[in-house]
Amino acid sequence: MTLSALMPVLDRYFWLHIAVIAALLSLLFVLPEYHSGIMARVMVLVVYALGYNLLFGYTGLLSLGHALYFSAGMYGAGLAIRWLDWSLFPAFFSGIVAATLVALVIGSLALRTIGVAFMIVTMMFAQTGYLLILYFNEYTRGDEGFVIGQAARLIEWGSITVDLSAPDNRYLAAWLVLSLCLLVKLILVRSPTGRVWIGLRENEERARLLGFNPYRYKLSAFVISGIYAGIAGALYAILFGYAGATFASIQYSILPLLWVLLGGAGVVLGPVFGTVVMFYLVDYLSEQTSAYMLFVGVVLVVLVLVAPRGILGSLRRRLLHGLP
Amino acid sequence: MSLLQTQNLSCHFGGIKAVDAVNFTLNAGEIRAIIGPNGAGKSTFVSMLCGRQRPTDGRILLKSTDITDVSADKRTALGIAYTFQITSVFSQLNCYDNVELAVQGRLMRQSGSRMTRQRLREETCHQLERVGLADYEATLATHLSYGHQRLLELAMGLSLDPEILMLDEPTQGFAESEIDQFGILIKQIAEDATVLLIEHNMNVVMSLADSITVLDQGRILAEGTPQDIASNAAVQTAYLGTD
Amino acid sequence: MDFWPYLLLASLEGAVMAAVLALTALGLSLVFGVMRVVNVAHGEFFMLGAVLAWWFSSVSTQWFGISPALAFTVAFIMSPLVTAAVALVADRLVLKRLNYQPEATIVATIGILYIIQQLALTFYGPDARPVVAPFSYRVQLPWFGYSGYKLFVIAAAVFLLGLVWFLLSRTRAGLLMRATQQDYETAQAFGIPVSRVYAGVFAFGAMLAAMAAVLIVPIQQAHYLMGLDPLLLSFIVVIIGGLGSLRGTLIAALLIGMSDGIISVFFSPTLAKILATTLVAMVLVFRPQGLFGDRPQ
Repeated sequence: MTLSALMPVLDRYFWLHIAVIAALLSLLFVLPEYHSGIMARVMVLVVYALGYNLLFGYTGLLSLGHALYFSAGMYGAGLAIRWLDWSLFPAFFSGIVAATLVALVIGSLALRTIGVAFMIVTMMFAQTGYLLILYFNEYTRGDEGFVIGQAARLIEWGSITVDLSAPDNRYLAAWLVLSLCLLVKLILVRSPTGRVWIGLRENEERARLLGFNPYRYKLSAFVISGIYAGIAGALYAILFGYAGATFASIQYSILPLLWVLLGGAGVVLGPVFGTVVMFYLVDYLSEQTSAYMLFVGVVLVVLVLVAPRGILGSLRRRLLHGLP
Repeated sequence: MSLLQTQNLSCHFGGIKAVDAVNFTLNAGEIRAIIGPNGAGKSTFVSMLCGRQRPTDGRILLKSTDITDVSADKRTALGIAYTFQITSVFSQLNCYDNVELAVQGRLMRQSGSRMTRQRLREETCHQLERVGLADYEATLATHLSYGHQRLLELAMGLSLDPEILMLDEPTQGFAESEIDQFGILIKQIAEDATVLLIEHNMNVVMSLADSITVLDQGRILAEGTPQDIASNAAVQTAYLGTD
Repeated sequence: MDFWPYLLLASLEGAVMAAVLALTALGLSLVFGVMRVVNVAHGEFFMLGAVLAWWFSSVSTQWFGISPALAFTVAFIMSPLVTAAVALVADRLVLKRLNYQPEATIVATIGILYIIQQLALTFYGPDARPVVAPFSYRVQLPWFGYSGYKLFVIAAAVFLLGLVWFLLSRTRAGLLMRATQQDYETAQAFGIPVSRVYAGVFAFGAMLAAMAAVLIVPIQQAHYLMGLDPLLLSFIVVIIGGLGSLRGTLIAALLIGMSDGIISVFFSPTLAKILATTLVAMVLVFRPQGLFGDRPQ
C-alpha cells in the first residue's frame, strides 16, 4: 500500500465533513455556556460512537461490550494520574495503550466466534472488566469513582499553561480530538482496508475467496474501534476529572449502539448526529421524568422496526448517494 | 504438466460419501469440465479444491506442493479463483465496487506492484469492459439481472488474474444468446489460465472442454476427450439411470 | 460453627439458588432453542414476575383480607400469567415483525428491557419490597435452624421442572415445540403453525422466569433493578450447558447455582461472578457447544 492511497479524496463529501467540523467549532461562540458544556461532553462521546460505528456499521460486527475499552482508556489515564502522578500527556497515552492492549486480547479471542456468540462473549468480557473494577475497589473506588484534581489537567509548554478544566479549553480540546478522529475515520473507510471491512460486512465468504483473511481484517477493525473507545475514555477522564465504574457497565456498552443506530450505521457522520440528538432528548426528558430510560427503550424498538438505517442512512438512500 | 492434483480426496458427511477417494489431475492450460448427475459430488469436490470445504481424507497438491491445510484466502493468493454455484456478490455494493475489491486483493498481494488509485481505477474498468458490464458501473449488484450477476462474479474471478479459474455451474440461468458470448469469453480466458468448469449444459461442455471428468456417486466414472465421453457406455447408463 | 455444618448451610443456600436459576435459565434456553432468539429482556420478565407477585399478594391481603398463604397462591398463579401476557404482546408487536432476525431481535429486546424496567420504576417505585412467605415454619437441624420455606422453594422448583419435562416430552404442545426446534422449514411444511408456536414459547419462557421470581420474593425483595443478575446468570447457565440443550441447562444450573452459593458464602460474591463470566466467555470461544452439549452437526 502506498502513501497516496491514504491521502483523503478531496471530493464534495470530504468538504461536507470539513463543514461539519467547522460548524462544531462555531458552536462554541454561539451557544450559551450551559450548552457548550454539554456539547463538550457529547463530542467526547461521539468519538466513542465513531469507533463503535467502524466495527458495527462498517465491518458488521455487533459488540455488546465496548464499555470495556472505554473504561480501559478512562482508568488507564485516571489510575496513572491518581497513583503514579503522571502528567496529562503520558496519562492520556497510557489510557490509549491500555485500551489497545485490552481490545487486542479480547478481540483475538472473541473473533473466534460469530453471530450471537460473538455478542455474548464481548458482553461477558466487559462484565468481567466491570466486576474487576468493583473488586479492586481499593484502587478504583468502585461505583463511587474518584475525582482527578485540576493540577493533573494542565498542559504546560514552557511558560504557557492551558487549563483543561476551563469550559472553553475543554470544548476546544474535545473538538480537536473529535475532528482528528472524524477525519481519520473518513480516510480509513475509503482506504483499501476500509473497503475490505465493508466487503466482510456484505458477504464474508465472498471476501474470503477474493483472498482476504477475514480474521485479520476483523481484528484490525476491532482494535481500531477499541482505540477510539480508549481515546474517548481517557479524554473523558481528563476533561471532566472523573473516573467511575458506571462507565464500564452494560449500559455504556449499549449506548454507542443506540447512538450509531439512530444516526445511521455505516455512515461516517451518523454517530455525530445520533449522539447529539439522543443526548439532548435524554437531557430534556430526564428533567421531566425519572423514567427517561423508557424513552431510550422505545427509541431502540422503534428504530429496529421502522428505520434500521437511522437518520443519515435513510438520507443517503434518498439524496446523498455514495456518502461514505 | 500437472498443475493441480488430488490424492484419495474424500469428504464424508456422516455416513454419506459425497466424494470418495478421488485421484484427479488437472493439466496446465486446459479447459476441463466436470460433469455428472445431480448429487454426484461435483460441488463438494470443487469446494475442497478451493478450500471452502475441508476434506475428511486425502491430499491436494498445487504444483506438487501440499495445500490441503491451506486456508481458502491463501489459496486465492496462490492463484486459485472460484465462482459460486449460487451467485455470491456484494449485493448492496455497485458493480464497480465489487470488481474493485477483487482487483485490490490482487494488487495488494502482488509484490512490487504499486497500488495507486489510478491503477485501481484503470484495471477495474478494464475488467468490467471485458465481461461487458462497463455500462453498469454504478448499478447495485442486487439490481442486476441474474445473467449479469453471473458475469459480475466472473469479472471478480478474472480480476484475481488466477492460474486456475473454477466455475461452478456458470451458465445456469443464461439465455441462449448469453451462452454463446460466454463461450467466447471462456476461450479467451483459457489463453492465460487453466479453467475448471462444472457444467450441466452438455452443449457448452462439448464445445468448450478439452477434456472431461465424469463423477458419479463420489467417484470418477470416466475421463477423456469429449468424443470419448460421448461414446462411453458407462456414462450413458449413469446419466440415463439417474437423471 | 464448624466447617462441615457451615458447608451444609452453604450448600443449602446454593441449592435454593440452583433451583430458582434452573427455572429461569430453562425459560431462556427454550426461547433460544426453539426460536433462536437471544432474549436480553428475560431478566426483566423475572423482575416483572417479582413485582407483580408483590402487587397481587398485597392487594389480596389488604382488600380481601385473605391469609398470607392464600395471597401467595394468588400471586403464584396470577403473576406468571400476566408476565406471559406481556411477553406475548412483545412477541406479536415487535419480534414477529422483525422475523426473529438475530441481530435485530437482540437490539429490540434490549429496548424491551429498558421499557419494562422503567415502567416498573414509574408504577412500582424505587423501593425494594418483600412478599410475606406463605408459611414461616423453621426446620431445626442439629447445628442450626433452617427456613422451611427455602426447602419448599427447592421442592417446588423440582416439581415445576418435572412438569415442564412432562409438557415437553409427553404432550402435543411439546411435540410441536420440538418439531419446530428440529427444523423450522419442515415443521412449516407439515402445517405446524410456527408463528403461534413461537409466540407460545416466548410467553412460556417468560412465565418460567416469573414463576422463579415469585418463589424467590419471600426470600429476596422485589426491586425494579433485580433483573440483571438472573439475566447474566441464566446466560451463563445456558452457555455452559450448551445453547439450546435443555438437559445441559439443568446440569449447568445445578453446577453454577451450587458453586455460586458456596463461593459467595466463603469468598466474595464479586469474585464468584468474575470467575463465572470469564468462564462463560472462554467456553463460548473454545467450546461453543457448551461443556455438556453435544457437538453440533
